[in-house]
Amino acid sequence: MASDHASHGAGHVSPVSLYVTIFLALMVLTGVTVGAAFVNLGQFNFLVAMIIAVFKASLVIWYFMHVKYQSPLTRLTVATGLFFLAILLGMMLIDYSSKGFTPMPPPTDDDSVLGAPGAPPPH
Amino acid sequence: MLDTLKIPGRHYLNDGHSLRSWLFTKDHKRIAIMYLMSISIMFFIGGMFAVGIRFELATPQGDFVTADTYNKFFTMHGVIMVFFFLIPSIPAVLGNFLIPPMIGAKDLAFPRINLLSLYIFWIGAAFTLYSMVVGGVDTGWTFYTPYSATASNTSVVPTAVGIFIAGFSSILTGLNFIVTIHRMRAPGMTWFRLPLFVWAHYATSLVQVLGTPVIAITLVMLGVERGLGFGIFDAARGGDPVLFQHLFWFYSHPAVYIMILPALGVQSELISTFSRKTIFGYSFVAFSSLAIAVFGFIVWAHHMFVAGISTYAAMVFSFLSFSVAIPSAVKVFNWSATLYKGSVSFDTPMLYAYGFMGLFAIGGLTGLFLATLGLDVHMHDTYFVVAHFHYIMVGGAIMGYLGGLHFWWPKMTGRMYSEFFSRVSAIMVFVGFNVTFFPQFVVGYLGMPRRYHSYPDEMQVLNVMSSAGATVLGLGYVLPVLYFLYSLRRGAVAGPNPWGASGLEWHLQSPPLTENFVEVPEVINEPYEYEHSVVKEKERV
Amino acid sequence: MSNAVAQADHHAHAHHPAQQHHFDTMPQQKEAAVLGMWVFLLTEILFFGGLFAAYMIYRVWYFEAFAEASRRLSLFWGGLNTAVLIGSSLTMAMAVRGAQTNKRTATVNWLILTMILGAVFLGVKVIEYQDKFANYEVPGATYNWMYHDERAAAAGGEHAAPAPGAAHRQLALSPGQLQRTTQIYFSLYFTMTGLHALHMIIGIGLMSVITWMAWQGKFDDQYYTPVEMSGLYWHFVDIVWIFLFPLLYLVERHQ
Ligand code: HEM
Ligand SMILES: [Cu+2]
Repeated sequence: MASDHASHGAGHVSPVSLYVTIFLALMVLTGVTVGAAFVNLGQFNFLVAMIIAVFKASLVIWYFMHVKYQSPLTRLTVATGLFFLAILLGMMLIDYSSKGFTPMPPPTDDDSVLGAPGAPPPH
Repeated sequence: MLDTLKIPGRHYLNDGHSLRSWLFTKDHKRIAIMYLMSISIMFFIGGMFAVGIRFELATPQGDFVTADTYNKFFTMHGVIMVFFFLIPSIPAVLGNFLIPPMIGAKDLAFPRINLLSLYIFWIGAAFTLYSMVVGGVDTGWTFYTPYSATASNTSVVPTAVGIFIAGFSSILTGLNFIVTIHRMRAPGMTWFRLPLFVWAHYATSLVQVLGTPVIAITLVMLGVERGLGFGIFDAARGGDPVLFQHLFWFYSHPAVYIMILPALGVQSELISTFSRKTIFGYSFVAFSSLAIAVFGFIVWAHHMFVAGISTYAAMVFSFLSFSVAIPSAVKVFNWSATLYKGSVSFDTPMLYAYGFMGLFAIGGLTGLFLATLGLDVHMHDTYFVVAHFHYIMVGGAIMGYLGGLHFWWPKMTGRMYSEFFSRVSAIMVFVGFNVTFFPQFVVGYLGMPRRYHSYPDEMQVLNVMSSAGATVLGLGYVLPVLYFLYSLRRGAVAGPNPWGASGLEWHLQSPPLTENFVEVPEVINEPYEYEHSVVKEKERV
Repeated sequence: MSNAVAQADHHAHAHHPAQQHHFDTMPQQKEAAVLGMWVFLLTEILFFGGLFAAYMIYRVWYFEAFAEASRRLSLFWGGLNTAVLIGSSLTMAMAVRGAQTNKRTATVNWLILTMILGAVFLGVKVIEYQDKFANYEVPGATYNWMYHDERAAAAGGEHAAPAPGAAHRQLALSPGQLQRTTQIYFSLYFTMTGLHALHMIIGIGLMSVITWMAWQGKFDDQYYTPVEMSGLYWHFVDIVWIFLFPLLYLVERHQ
């Protein structure tokens, strides 16, 4: 609708210092992910990596992509995307996680299926 | 029609006559007309394959074509009908033409992207038709791995590329509609004054935008597996062919709603107009469209009950599939309630609407049969499934498309078609359709599998019925081409509002001006105000 | 309808030259473009989502193979590229800011810098891909899981230390299983990074047009939508990488 969104002409101009801060935060977080990957956290390695990635992505979305200053509709759009991504992953997991409830035959160890490993590479 | 009516002197059709003025137009109405011509051609190509299928199945032996050729017939039929006819049909033709006038806008938000989507559609169609010419595809429209990835030696990749490309045309159409509906509504056109046709297209667009990218990436994965020897679905390397089915149906179940939701929108317009009543339960009908769009995304594995998914997942998906039927039923009940005590008429569009209601109900209810776990083990991959989805896609979506085309044809061209022949064709379509597809329920229940070119002798009677019905149905589809074309020159002048309908688009001249509205209208009426007054329009100062 | 009315529509106040006829106001036009871009990115989320779904399943199924295969990627190049891409997001944000504040040369320079960083990223990707080709780590008929370690051993002579890790880790998978299932990892690796790179190439293409437009002085604080749109796109591509980096390079590095 024309009338109810006529507010911001030039859009929000963020200060340079904010952008630089975000950039530095992203670099530090990249370092942290790499560092964390070398520590044995067992199951939690993956979780930590993903939490950091989500956090980094949020910084980009929120500040670099200006979602902080956009209409609620933009936020809703982002949320919709994540929601349906969650449906895709989650509902597929319903199947894959419950497959193990009924025993399956063990995976084959038959090397003849594909070219034998270690065969000389064709030149 | 009255003699006083005249075709207006200036309208979008005579605003430039060169080929260039069409190919480079930004007018959503001209783009819609070009879509109409394109998908009609695709419909007839897809129809030729259907003729081949029914011809083969007239006898129990595989005597007309070889099994391999038959495989290509039903594959090309499905690919063309689904991706190049039904998915663009109502949105790209009727939606494109009508959404801007219905909401009081001069055009869609992105006219150039609209034209781009048409070009992309043509390119996609060119790839798919090319693959047809160089020998066709035989995987079925579902492209299941591992057959499509490793075994089939037909031109899978060009077809997949064509579908991939056409998918972007669908995405762009949906994107354009979403933005248009959010940002281009005229003053006073609140969300709850939108025609239900627009609501339905909004819901459809959501599905297009959210689902189509998943089939696109799935086809990419199939393409790299087939073309480059990657191994994402390859069981020999530990890949999971069923994963392909998950990803495929994540799009393709919602895609069936891309086909049917716009038809539901058309239906709401027809029912209200031709019973001269406000639609019963406007907000229920509006929100049921959204509910269908969202629920449509959480039922996909009902296509995979016997493909090796876990029993527990099958139970969850079976249960959820039942829930989609609820919003669909809401609509059918609300239409019936609208008809109740209305002053109902039997103009051609309404004949299609009546047909739609019954056929959609049968299609939806047999969907529930199939969503029932135990029953589906018996009926999966039989003709029962074929009958189910044809009741919805042909009996529902195409009936809705034709009903809408007959309803808005006078708006699009300014002329009326033959009253008599159009009724004949509507009746032929309805009768022909039922004779074609009802026997398929029976023969499927008796155990005839789909996608085979021969069958046991005792099933011949039902199959011959089906082939005979298909002939009537086919003639019923040819007839409109003739009287529509005839009407372009000889049809009676329709005037702005031949049906006395209430939507904003009926306030425009027929055919409308290129810019639709000279003045941005201000809407002050509630939707479907048939009981009260003629819709008033106030000019904004 | 009458011409008089049509002209009255043509206004008291002057139109911005970039305003299209079917919009009433510049803000309406801008809001439409922003929403359109976000809806497009919504599509993109689901586009990559299909790949993430496949990745998720196979990573759980073949964790060990994924961990082994992931160690074959160079952390140095991957880390460097992450830094480069984050840097290019900063320069892109600065380019948009330049347009917002009517600084034409700054906009152009930041855009050019962004494109250069994008090109650096792609260059590094080429180096990485070349290494995979040289080591027969591209899935398909020539794929050879053992080649990498054998070559390392041969190069180091008889007493050379084994390639990092491989030999002293106790693997539950036989070489045959690794030969098969690591191909799934590399299939996903190439599809994901390949599509990501394709997005970057498209982004650089878009940006060169926009840079040219900016140079022509087409943008000002009232109209800089194309710069903003390509910025949104570029940041999205960055976000995809933010996920790809830990998922592909850091599956299990601590052993
Ligand atoms: C009431 C809602 C619906 C339910 C519960 C439902 C349920 C099902 C089920 C369970 C199947 C799988 C049968 C099998 O392969 O064994 C199926 C197939 C199918 N349905 Fe529906 N359906 C519904 C509505 C629709 C609609 C609205 C459409 C199309 C506009 C549609 C189109 C299809 C198609 C095309 C197939 C077959 C796909 C193939 O294998 O080629 N359905 N339906
Ligand atoms: Cu379905």
